[in-house]
This record gives sequence, C-alpha cells and structure tokens, in this order.
Amino acid sequence: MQRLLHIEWLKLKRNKSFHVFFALYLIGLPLLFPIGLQMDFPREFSIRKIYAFPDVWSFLGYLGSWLTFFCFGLLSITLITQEIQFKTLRQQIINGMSRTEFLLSKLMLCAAVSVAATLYYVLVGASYGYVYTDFVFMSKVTEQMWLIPAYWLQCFAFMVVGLLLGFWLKRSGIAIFLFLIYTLVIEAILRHVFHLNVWSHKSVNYYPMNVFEDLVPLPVRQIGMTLEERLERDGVSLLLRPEEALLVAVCWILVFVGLIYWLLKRRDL
Amino acid sequence: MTLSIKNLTKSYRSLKAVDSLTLEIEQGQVFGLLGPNGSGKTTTLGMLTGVILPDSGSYQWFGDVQPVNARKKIGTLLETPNFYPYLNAIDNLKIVARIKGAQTDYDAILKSVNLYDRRHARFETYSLGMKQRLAIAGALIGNPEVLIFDEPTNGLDPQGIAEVRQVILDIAQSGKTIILASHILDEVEKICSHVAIIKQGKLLSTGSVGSILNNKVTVEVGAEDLAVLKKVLENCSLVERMLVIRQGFSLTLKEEGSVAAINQYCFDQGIVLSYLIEKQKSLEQEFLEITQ
Repeated sequence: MQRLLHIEWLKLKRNKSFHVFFALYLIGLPLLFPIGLQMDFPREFSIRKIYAFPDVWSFLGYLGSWLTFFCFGLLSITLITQEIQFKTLRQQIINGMSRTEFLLSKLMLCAAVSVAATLYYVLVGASYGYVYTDFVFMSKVTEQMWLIPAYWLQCFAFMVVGLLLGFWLKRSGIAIFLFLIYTLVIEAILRHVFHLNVWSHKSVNYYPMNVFEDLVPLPVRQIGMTLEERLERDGVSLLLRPEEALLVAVCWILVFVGLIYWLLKRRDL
Repeated sequence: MTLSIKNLTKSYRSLKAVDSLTLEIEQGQVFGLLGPNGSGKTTTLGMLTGVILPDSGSYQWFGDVQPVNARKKIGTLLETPNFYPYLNAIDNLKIVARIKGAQTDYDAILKSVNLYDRRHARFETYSLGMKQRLAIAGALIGNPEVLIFDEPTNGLDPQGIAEVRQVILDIAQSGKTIILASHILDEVEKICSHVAIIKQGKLLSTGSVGSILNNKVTVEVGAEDLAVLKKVLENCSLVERMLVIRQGFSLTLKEEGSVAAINQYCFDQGIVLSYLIEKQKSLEQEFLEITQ
C-alpha cells in the first residue's frame, strides 16, 4: 500500500499538469467564492449567510464541486493518459507490478488527492465562517459537517470517472471532451428529454454525474423554498436525499472501478 | 530451466503474430531471437513480460514462480525506453526500484551506463542513445537473473551501437541469462551463444549458434574452365545449392558432403580445381535459406 502510494508520489510531485490543476483549485476556491456577492438572490435572503456557519459549508461546497469536477476530473484523465502515452503503464507491468496493483495505486492516488482537496475545502470554509459569523457556536459550525465526507466522495467519484474515460479512450483530448460534454450536455438530454418523457420516475435522478453532483447539492433550501417548488412541478424531486445520493454514488463508483478493472485485465498494453 | 514456453499463440484479427511457439532457455545462455521485422519477436517478449495476453499456450519462468514475481527478477527493455519525460534519471530509476522492491546504488548503476554526469537532467532532454542507456540501467536494477533486450541498438548511431553491445557483452560475462531479439544477424552472431529463428510467428530453427552454423558446409570452388566445372557440379549429388561468385561457385553441401569429397569428385570428372576453400557459413546465409 505504502509502496504504491510512494511510487505515485514520485511521479506526481514533478508533474506539470498536477501543479497547474492543483494551483487552479487552490487559488480558485477562496477567490471565486466572493462571486456569490454578485448573484441575484431573493430579496429576503441575507447574502452574509453564504459565508457564515453553517451555510458556508454548502455554498462553498457547491462552488468547490465545480472546481473539483474541472480540476481533478481533468487531472485524473491527464495522469492516466500520460501513463499510456509515455508507455510507462506498460513498463511498470514489465517491471513487476501486477495490473491489479496498478489500478490500486491509481485509486489510492485519487483518494489521496481528494483528501487534500477536502482538507483545503475545510480550511477555506472555516476561515470564511469565522470571519463572517457574528457569534460562532460549535453547534453552528458542525451543523452541516456531513458535507465534508460527501465532498471527499464527490471529488473521488469525479476522479474515478476520469480514470475510466482516460483508460478507455487512451487519448486525453477525446477523454476530456467526452467528460465535459457528457456531464454538461448529454446526461441532461438523456434525463430530461428521453427518460422523463418515457418514465416520469425519480430514477431520472440516478444518472451517475447527477448523483455525484447531488452529494454536495445546490443549496436550494438555503436560498428559499420557492425555487425548489418551482423545479418540482414535474413531480420529480430536483435533488436526491443525501443518504440516497451517497448509496447510489457508491454503487456507481463500484461499477466504474469494476469497468476499469475489466478493461485493464483483458487489454494488451 | 530459466524459461520454458509451450505452444504460445497470439493472433491479431486474422494475422497469427505468434504461432504455437515452443522454446526452452537455460540459465546462462545468451539467447538470440532472430527474425525479420514483424516476425513476432516483440509480441513473444510482450507475452513473456505480462503486457500482451496470449490467446493460448503457456510459459513458465524459473520453474513455477508467479509471473508477477518472476518479472521482478527480469530486467526488460522492450522496444523503446519508457520513462517519465519530466523526471530526471534518478527519479525514474527510483520508480523502477520501488516496483521491484530493490535496494539500489543509483550512482553506481548510472556510472556503469555512463550517465552519471547527466543524472539530474530530465529524461526528455536526453539523446536517443542516452535514453537507451538509461533503459539498460533500469533493466539492471535489482540485479536481475535474466535480461531481455528487444532490438537494443535500433536507431542508434555506430558509436551508440558499439556502446550498447559492449554493455550487453559485459552483462553476459557476469553469467546472467540474456534474451536478445534482433533482426540484425551480425548482432546475434557477435553476442549470442544460442539462437532461435522465427518467421511469421513460427519457430524455424533453434540451437547453439555454432550448431546452426556448422550444420552444413559451404565450399567455394574455381577452375580454369568454369563452364565445364558448372556442368560437372550440376550433376553432383553432394551439392545442395550453387551460387555464382567471382572466383567460380559457392556450394552448399548436403549432410554427407565434405571438402575432400568435392575435390575427389571433380578430380574423377577430369577437372583440377584451381581454387578450393571451405567457408564457415555465415548466419546471414543460413537465415536467408531458412526463412525462404
């Protein structure tokens, strides 16, 4: 375990893509957060609430989920396609790593990067919270803390999707294109145009990227009930319940890891 | 037995890249895998090193060691040198050493392939020859029992070729088993003790380099009247193949043929040979004959 992580760290520490994506995340998370100040919220909604405990966790988490999607989803695609492009995946197998160990090392890398991303989210969230909360009560601070493990799982899930696409398609350009187009366009069409017309059922929310997004949901409840009510007119809830999202997300992750394993085991390298 | 291969087969669509290959390699042999480009050498080595999955057949390293553990005791350079371009030599070798679980003196190993001075330079800044030498350094990590080199001199300049060959010969001196795939006969002839000739994935011939060379004798003959000599030799039952050369003819003799027998035969036919010389047949001739 430690051996595999150490190998991944040797590769990662001087990797330019890693430096760029990680820097984007580090800079982006605290700097993009104040953009909320310019957003058009319902009048009764206090903007300062966004930055105060406990709502800072969900608002920062929602912003962070976009950043982890872009930065770490793309990072994981880049890292795996580099291994293929440099033929270092092939060389590592030749040198005596098993295919299972290779998959394990990449999963541990994703888990470790997600831990770093989550710790930074906690740090930024706590900082904003302490500055913008008038009276800091521990109960307020911890009220939405379930979002912290959810944030980690979401980041990990995006990276696993990146691994799958990168390993399957081998080329970073195509994999990144599909990663973005599927998440931002194709899945929405599948869900709202096809699925909903055929079967108006809550399974419309079970599509993988939607499930992962719902792990750290858009904080609609905090903004105001009206928005949610408006979006629920189809009789379909906009968001999955947290525990539901968690369960389905874990299932999707297992399916994706299984697919990578299956590809890795039967492919000539 | 270091390596035993049984009926190893791999197809790409309708093309049989490796066709029921059976081969055994003993410890300490410098084994040449010789064949033209596209004959299945790299595919074979790919299967032996776990990156290409065989359709059927099997192989065993060191008796019955698990393939993944066996690979840790094998140093391999397959086709191109594969390293992280943005890492320097030492970091790249560290990754190899970690995978193999080997304690390594990086300075010593880099000195042995003459890369010590450039050890802190990124791999992408290396010339092809340096990349190849780093790959050899990578293959040497963990003091492996077997080394596999696939076309190790491909694309190198004459100096690079000489350096790489010297490194391989040095390794061979230390008693390690070496498997060398090459389409260059000269290379195999100079380096190897044993050879297997393959074409279109099929094993055509295998044995010690000496035994393949000495199977049949090549004799060059000449006489005053080459036209008469030609007529006489064409009727000779000892001659298998006859080529025109400057001095006369180059004859490949059948098993029962010998220099003395040819001389006697010509003399009996009333021809006195003015030129008679026994040639060790080069692997090149053998190779062309076997693969035709």
